[in-house]
Amino acid sequence: MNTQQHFTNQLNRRSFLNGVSVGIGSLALTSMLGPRGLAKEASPLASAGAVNPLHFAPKAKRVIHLCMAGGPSHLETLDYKPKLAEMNGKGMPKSITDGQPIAQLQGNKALKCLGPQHEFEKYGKSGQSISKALPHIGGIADDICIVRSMTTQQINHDPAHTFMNTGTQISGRPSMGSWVLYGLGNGSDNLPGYVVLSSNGGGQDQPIASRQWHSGFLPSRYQGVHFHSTGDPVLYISNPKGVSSRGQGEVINAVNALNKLRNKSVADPEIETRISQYEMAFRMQASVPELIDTSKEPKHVFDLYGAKPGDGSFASNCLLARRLAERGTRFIQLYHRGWDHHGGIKNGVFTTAKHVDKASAALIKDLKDRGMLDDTLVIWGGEFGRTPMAQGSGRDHHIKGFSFWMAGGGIKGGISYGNTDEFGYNAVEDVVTVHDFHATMLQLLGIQHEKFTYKFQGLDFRLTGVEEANVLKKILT
Amino acid sequence: MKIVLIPGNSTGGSDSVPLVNALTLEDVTGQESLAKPGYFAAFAEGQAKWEIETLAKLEKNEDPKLPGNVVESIRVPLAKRSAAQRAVLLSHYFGMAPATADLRKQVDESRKRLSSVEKSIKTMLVTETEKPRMTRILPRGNWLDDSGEEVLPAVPAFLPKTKLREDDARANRLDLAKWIMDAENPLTSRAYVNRMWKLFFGTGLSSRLDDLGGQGEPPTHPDLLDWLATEFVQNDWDMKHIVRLLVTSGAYRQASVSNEKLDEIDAGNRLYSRQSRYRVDAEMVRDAALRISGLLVEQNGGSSAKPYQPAGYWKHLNFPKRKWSHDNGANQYRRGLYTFWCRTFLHPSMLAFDAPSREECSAERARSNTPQQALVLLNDPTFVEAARVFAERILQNGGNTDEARLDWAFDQALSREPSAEERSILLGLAKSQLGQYNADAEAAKQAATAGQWPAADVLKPEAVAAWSAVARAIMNLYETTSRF
Repeated sequence: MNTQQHFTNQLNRRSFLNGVSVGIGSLALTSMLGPRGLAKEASPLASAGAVNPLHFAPKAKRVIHLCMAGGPSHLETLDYKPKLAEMNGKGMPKSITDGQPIAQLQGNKALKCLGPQHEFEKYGKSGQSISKALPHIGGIADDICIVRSMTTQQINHDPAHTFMNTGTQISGRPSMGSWVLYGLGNGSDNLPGYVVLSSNGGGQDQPIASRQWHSGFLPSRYQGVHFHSTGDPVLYISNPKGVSSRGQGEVINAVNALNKLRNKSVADPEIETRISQYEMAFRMQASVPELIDTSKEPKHVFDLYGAKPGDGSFASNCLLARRLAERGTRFIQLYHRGWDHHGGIKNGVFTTAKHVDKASAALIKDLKDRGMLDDTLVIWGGEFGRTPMAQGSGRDHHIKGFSFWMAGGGIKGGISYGNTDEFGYNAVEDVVTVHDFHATMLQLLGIQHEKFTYKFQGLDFRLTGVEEANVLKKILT
Repeated sequence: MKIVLIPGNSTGGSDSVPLVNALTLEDVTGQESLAKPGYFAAFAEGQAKWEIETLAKLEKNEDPKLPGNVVESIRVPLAKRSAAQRAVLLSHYFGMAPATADLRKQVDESRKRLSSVEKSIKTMLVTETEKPRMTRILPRGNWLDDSGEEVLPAVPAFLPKTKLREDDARANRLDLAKWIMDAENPLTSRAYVNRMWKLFFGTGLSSRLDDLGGQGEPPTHPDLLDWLATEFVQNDWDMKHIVRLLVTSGAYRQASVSNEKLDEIDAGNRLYSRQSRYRVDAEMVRDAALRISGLLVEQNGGSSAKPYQPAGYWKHLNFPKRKWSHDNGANQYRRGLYTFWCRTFLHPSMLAFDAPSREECSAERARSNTPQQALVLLNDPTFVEAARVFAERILQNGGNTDEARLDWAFDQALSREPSAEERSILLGLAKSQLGQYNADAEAAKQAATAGQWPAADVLKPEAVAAWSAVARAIMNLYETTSRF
């Protein structure tokens, strides 16, 4: 650790300690204040993280990333291509496909067009064109901005997720959630600042590696904490068998008392941190079950999301995401594995959409009702799109043009941005790179991406890499 | 059976009879040499007797059931036999002589052992393509673009002595290996001793372990780094020599306690006015807990160990689906080093304590201090079981009073006595816990049987449960998981 880093960590530690100095007693206070009572940002530019003060007044204070894992077909969800319908079954123009990177269709000489397998409709006052497979998302058309010109560089699931999360295909770099938590700090003092939830259904579930929420070269406290839908929601959160909450509390009190005594003679800041981390762990042992226990949510909320308590579904995870957001968690990432439709794309998209459509829209509505959509950035999309060319009755991976949508904190609703060509192959208008997307997200959070660096292996690394990255100004309020 | 014969160079026996090279057998079996007084006489006598019997059979036209070259040699009169013929006969008789029966049995057994050891060794297969693939620079990493310049194996031009071989042939991995270990290459030994220094002092002499170049950090003590590097090479790259040198140094043997003035002058302790202090690495956190409990199995090598892991932790893996079944018996208690390594989902206790995924080379680990670590030490079944077994040992070996037990426990875990205040806190904990467990027999039973290690039936569950709490407190101390 170099001196500067050491100094920064000391500062972070100090601000963290200030936040939790009231110790275990604050638990009761916290619950009396209610979840939002934790918000501590006094000045609009104050931050509990490494970027302090922030570079801009933030439009969003937290991010919820609904990751549609597997590569949803933009052609059946958000990007309607009448020309492709016309060309159904006919050869794909070689001028478009020759020399292009292709995944499983490689070596397949007769590349044929596959028309959109679902009809599209104009939704809302804005008349945004959205697939009929996603009627609920259609219902929030006026709240969302659809980006139809997204591109990526990686054509297989794992490296593409890595690229989307870290801005590079090379593993070992921090994910965007870790960067955001590092930059802004946590907004909660009894829940992790970066939480990952996952669900599956509707298609073959490609594996997801824990690398996707790893902190890379950032200190590991910025790692995403994966919540599990079976067993302990957070690993090792339950007391051992035969140990009561009182008994556990006594052990932790003894540990902290002894650590304090020890620290009198050795004065080691790491011990101070250790003491606060044990307090945090003890608070988590109470706050995580409280978070997971949705029994106090009214029936209409469950109906809105289409969730059943404890079913581990995407819908339940959306509800948990809202609860986490309320409690100050900075970055919440939901993976729904089920969009990899190499075959049977018509039914596949329909089925997977059934898992996510209602709940995605419900999250936006719920946040809006609570006045939280204004400062929560919601992102909906996958690691890549799918080919206009048929792969039997499905589509192959595609990286040259695909869609996602964003809503909330600083994003204009009811608009779309960018376009692909008439086949939905290449993004041709207002092309967006993953780095542009990251730069935009950071901008909304109050961070200028070029200035947001971390020194590692002699280089000043940043999430947006070394090539030019542009904030998508047209979509910002 | 084949016996190694080295004709005519032995020291015992007569010049005319070449002797078995006993050394190889001794080396293999670890038994005494066969060159005992009288042995060769008996052997030679036996051989002579066998030759006479065989000749007699041949005269009677009986089939002696011997290989042709043996029969041929035996027909040649002793004085006229060539060295090769003598060797043929000696070798054959050796394989049947009663005098060598024990020896042959030993050799057979040794060969079997050797063969089973050889079979257990995994061989890394290295293949080399006959015609090496053409490698080009890929413009901006685009693998579809073959317009880039063709390149040959080489080391980066900024490094010293970039020529990998003297002739113009294509360099291979052996050339690279030689370049790495070349006496003129100053990097290898410096990088290595710098990493050793980090192991024992917490920070390298240059804090960037993976970059001793222009983008790294200049060493705080360049002469020391050079001297250690030279010492390392001159002592035939003897790692133990460097370890010994470091741990017996004055710098290493200092106390780690700091004070305000030192913190002000040298907060990072880069000048080594004291020893550094830090939490030990993930594997050692586990090892320490098992060691204190007495459960640690120190077996070297062998297959990976699977400690307890939360059910369903691997559910996001696919192709194929995988299931974790933890080890039972001794393999459950092996050192952290042997924990099964799943790169995409590292064992959660390792991950919590900053073990790298090993997806990419990692010269240095971060050293974080997180609530997840507290949860692992408090609630991971490995640590809960270790505390329970430690509690049983405390009750069985610690003496008859609570004070004596606590002193014993502190000595085991921290190699020191508790202070009066520490004693009062922990005895208070023991008393309160005992009261609670006396009132809840079921909870006491659960806590006293944590894990798969058999419970000490002679002990009262309430006492084990209460002292498990004390053991957990001790094992959760920062001091226990740190090097001071």
